[in-house]
Amino acid sequence: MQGSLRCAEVEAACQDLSLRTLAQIDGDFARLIYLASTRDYNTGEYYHDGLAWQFSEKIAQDALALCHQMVFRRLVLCSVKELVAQLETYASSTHLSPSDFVRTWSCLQPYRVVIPRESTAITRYFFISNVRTALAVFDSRQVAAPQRPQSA
Amino acid sequence: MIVDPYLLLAATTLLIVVMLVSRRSVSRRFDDAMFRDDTPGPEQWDSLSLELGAQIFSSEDLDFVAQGSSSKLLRSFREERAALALEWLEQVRDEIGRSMGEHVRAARVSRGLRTVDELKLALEFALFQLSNRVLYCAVWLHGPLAAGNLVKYSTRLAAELKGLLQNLPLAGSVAVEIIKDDSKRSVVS
Repeated sequence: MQGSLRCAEVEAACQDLSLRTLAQIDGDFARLIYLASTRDYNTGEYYHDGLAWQFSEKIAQDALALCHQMVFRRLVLCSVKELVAQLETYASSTHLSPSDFVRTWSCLQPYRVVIPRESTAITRYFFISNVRTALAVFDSRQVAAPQRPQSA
Repeated sequence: MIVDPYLLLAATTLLIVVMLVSRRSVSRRFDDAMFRDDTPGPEQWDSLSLELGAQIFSSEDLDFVAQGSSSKLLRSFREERAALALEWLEQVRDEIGRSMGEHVRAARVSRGLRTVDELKLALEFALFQLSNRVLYCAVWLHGPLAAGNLVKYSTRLAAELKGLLQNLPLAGSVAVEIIKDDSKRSVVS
């Protein structure tokens, strides 16, 4: 009984997070980056003050973890073509030039740290391989496309 | 035509060496692949891992990467997909083997076993092992896309065979006789 009540609370928190925060973020890739950024590197726990205040810290943590897994799942199961489109959307939101974005991402490989902890090794590898490929395709498109003049 | 056995042996050996050399790149990538890590915590297998099969064997991604990308990127992508496909097949086999092992352990102490069900399960398990290994060899030799094409080819052949059987009057009448015979038996039983 207590378990199902807790489950319902996590669901409610997850829905609240999706409607209030994630819906405002353009694209699943940006959502993944955002959700991963709410996770502490040392403890692996998620933190969100607003959600914790509205529900409880534990419920907020579980809701963030659940949303993180759901968004990651969607990205893992999408095609490389869709992933390129997601990357393009995300890159355009960073206010960096596409070439700078590709250079930084190829060098730092931040996509490695945005994977949920519960993911299996084969899923992690599949995701990393797809993002790396999508990044290379994105880069090749930038090279092929004529350079647009920078606005002042 | 008489074929020299030594020549045949030499040709076979050469063919095997060529195949091994051509697949070396996949094996090398396979060895240092990160899915061989021992990170504690996550399970080895989950529902998402199972769903990955459709993605790994799909030609959609490969077709997309092939369009306008460099040959280096395409080769690298192919190698990664081949390594992933081999690992996926191995993990499916391990997972089913583990579940089967658990079932066998539970069956040893169970009293309500049904022989027919157990035999059916054993047969299904043997068929799964066989098909998994055949697919593994196909991927190892020609990549996941070729393995996917193998399934398509087999399906097409089956459709062609069905069409041929329907067009052959003898085969058609035999089939009708079999169906009639079966329906008689089912009525009697």
